[in-house]
Amino acid sequence: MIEIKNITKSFNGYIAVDNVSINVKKGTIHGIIGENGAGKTTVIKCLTGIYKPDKGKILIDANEVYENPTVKEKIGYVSDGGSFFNDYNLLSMIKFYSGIYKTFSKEKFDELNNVFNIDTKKKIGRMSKGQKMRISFMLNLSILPEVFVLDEPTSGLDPIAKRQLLNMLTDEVEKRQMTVFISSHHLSELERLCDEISIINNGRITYQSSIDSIKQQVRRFQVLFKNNPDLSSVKDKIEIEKIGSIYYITTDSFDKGLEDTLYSLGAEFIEEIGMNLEEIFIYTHQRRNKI
Amino acid sequence: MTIHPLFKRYFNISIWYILAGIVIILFFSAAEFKLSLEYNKSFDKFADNFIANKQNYTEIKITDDAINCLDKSDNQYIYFNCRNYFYNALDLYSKCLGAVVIMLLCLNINLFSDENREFINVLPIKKQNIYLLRALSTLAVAIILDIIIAVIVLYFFRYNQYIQLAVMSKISKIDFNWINDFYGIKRFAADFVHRSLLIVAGAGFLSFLNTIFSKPRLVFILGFISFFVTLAGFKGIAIFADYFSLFNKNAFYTFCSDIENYSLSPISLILLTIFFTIAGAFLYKKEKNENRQGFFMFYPLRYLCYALGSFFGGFSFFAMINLKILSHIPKINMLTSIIIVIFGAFMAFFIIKKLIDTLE
Repeated sequence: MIEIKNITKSFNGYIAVDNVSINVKKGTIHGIIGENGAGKTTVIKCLTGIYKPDKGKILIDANEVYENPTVKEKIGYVSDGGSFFNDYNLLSMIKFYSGIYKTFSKEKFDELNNVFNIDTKKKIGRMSKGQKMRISFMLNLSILPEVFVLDEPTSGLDPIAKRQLLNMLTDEVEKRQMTVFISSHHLSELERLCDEISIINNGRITYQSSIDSIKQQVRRFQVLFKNNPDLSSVKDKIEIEKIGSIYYITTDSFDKGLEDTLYSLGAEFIEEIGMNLEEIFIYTHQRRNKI
Repeated sequence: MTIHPLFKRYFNISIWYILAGIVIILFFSAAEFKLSLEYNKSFDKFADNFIANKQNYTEIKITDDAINCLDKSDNQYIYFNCRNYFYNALDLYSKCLGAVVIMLLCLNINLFSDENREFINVLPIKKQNIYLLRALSTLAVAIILDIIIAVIVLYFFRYNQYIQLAVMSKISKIDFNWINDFYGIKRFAADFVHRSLLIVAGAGFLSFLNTIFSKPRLVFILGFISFFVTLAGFKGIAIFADYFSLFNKNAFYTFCSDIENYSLSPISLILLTIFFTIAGAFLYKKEKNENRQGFFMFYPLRYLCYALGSFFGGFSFFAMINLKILSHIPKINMLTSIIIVIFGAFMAFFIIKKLIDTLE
């Protein structure tokens, strides 16, 4: 469905996105995570046709996105800022959207607004960030997009609205096989939501696969040593955290060799403990800083 | 036929600029309107008197700006001179055009403002069509304001700029008749078409520049600043020249006035200003892209562009707004003139630095 092929985008010599490739299958939810300034929004803006990549291609159903209204009609985009015409009210925006998007469904909008209950006569400029985010979500979902791109959609939302929004999203994926590309700093949400994840660091994708695969790749162990061990020989392979007498070791290259090395350094027991996406993300960040 | 929602949006914005344009025309041209009304009254009086004593007048000569005749009763030539009012009309005309140009510049900046750029660019519309819609909206404003100017010109200038039209209708007691007064219509139509072409070409050109240049706001800010810099610069030169008796200040102003009134139309001057400013910016980009290779070719050319941009910008300012604020300051001493020149130099430096920073 979505094919991001080796895209590079730079701004005045600064490379924001460097040779990024991501594939997203139809009817799946793909998350992109990274630090501030890692290049998530730039990838999203290339995907929605706001920016033209300097190199590479972005295809949706094998058609290029940039300057292609036929493809862009299929894309709904909820941006972080939720930018609209501030002097319009929601009714005017509905009219605007229905004039632009042939697929706009007023019924869908009403159905969504029954949940969010936003005053349609209130000027957008007078709305809070959370309200703007909700109307952006409702309007873009009402165009019945085939591809729905969301950049930090839950920022500024209260926990209830956040839950409602994410439920609507998963419902829509289930009902219409909509494809979702989402970025968020709330990693627990993404972990619950996404089929696949890409981790972007300094404009480059460092990990890309299903959450389960990433979890199989990046693993964490608690290790008890007899004495204070000298871990310098394995330092470049692992991240170490010591709490009390227990060593917590995180690595993306755990194998029999590493296990044997740890035992040879005096490990009494090695036990794997589960990691959540946030911990994996922090690990990738630490590794990058080390490199 | 359905109107595109984005065009509706742009036109709604444009309406505010039309209203603002009217307010600016009325506010800044109040003095000229007053003079025109007074003149119209005095011409009415003259015409009534002329009609009453028509049988006494011979050798009636009606020119563009005067009526001359011989009064048989006392063998004296009488004339009605409207040259000053003609210049008053030109001032009003320049201010009206200035208001239109300012509104078009502001409208373009608004339509290209960053606020909605991301939102607009996501919409399933080709960029060239968005530019087209913006251009159409700008043109719509230009044409509407042009029609308003035409009405103002028709009403207030009927006794001076179109003196034949007025005299024919007034003296011969023929009501304002378009069919009978062919000469007046022709002049009016020619003026209207000329002005319309200038405004529409200007509006179209502004939109075109916005299309090809990614920093429209910068271009127009620079354009405006350069008007003021050059105004300050010219005034400073004139004061210095006068102070050191290098040449006659009035001669200098006459020279400016000639250019302003006759040689080049305000929009042509503005276009030249924008052209040279952008040319300078492009040359800088070129210089930068080629890592300053060919420095000796681009560098002087770029600064020549800035200089020419400022030069035409200054005359644009004179021609467009006709403000002459500085010339109304009663006494400008040496210190003030130094301050003005330093200010001009500082502004020029600021423009170039800002331009380079932005491009970097």
